Amino acid sequence: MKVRKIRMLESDMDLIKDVMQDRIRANKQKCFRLLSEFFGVEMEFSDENFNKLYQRFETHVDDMKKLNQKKRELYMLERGIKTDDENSIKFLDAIKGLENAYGEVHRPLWENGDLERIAKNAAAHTHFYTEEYEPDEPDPEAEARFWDAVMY
Amino acid sequence: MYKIWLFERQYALIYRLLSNDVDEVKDQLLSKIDEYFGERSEHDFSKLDSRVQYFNDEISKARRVVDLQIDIFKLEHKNEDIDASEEYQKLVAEDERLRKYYWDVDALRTNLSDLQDAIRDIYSLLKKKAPHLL
Repeated sequence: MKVRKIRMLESDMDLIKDVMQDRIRANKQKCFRLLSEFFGVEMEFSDENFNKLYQRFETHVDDMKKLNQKKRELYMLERGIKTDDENSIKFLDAIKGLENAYGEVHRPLWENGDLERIAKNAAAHTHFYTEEYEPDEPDPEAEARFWDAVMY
Repeated sequence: MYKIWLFERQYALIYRLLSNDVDEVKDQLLSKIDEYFGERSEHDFSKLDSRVQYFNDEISKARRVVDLQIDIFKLEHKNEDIDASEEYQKLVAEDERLRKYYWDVDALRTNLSDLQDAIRDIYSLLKKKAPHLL
């Protein structure tokens, strides 16, 4: 795949960083809202509260999935059945519901992973640009180093 | 390792003793299985393997059921002092009871298998060296 180099101004880089940071924050708040709805609690958004709810969610989903898997196995074992019937399917539905909730909560966080990487790159390149590149006295070697850093 | 030399008749005696032991162990094994099922069956040694297999299937199932019940109890009573719970203690006691039956039968089966191996070796030796003693 051909990769193109895109030259960007320092101010544009800063703007990208800011946009990314805003989006990251918004995603985190969205995730927090979903977590609050999931547990039916009302809490003010803060990093501390986010971490608390997030940890609780991770443990809860994990435990409930295990619980439903074990209840399903026990149900089938006690009745000597090997394929799911109407009742054991309820356990599978519960597991699916938990997995959906997990995906919904994590989607904004997965996006944040990508955004953080972009913001980090933008920050690193802005620093390099400021330190190494002087627009009044062009330095082709410094510029080449800069673009190498941007691209690789 | 030492080589120990025995007279033919001593071999024959060992063979007879071990053969008697085999029957005794088979009997113990079937009694243990009867005890688990709370019944008294005719000790038909020709059906020993199927009886042991049946026991294994049933106890494996019973152990898995208790295992799952314990796990479910733990998950449903997370962050609680479950050791103090009577229901939990009952499950633990049942788990230990089943475990003990499982290992007792397993030990008898191992013992039986070792005896049968030894008898097979001695029988082939006697058949080769002193067939008149068999």
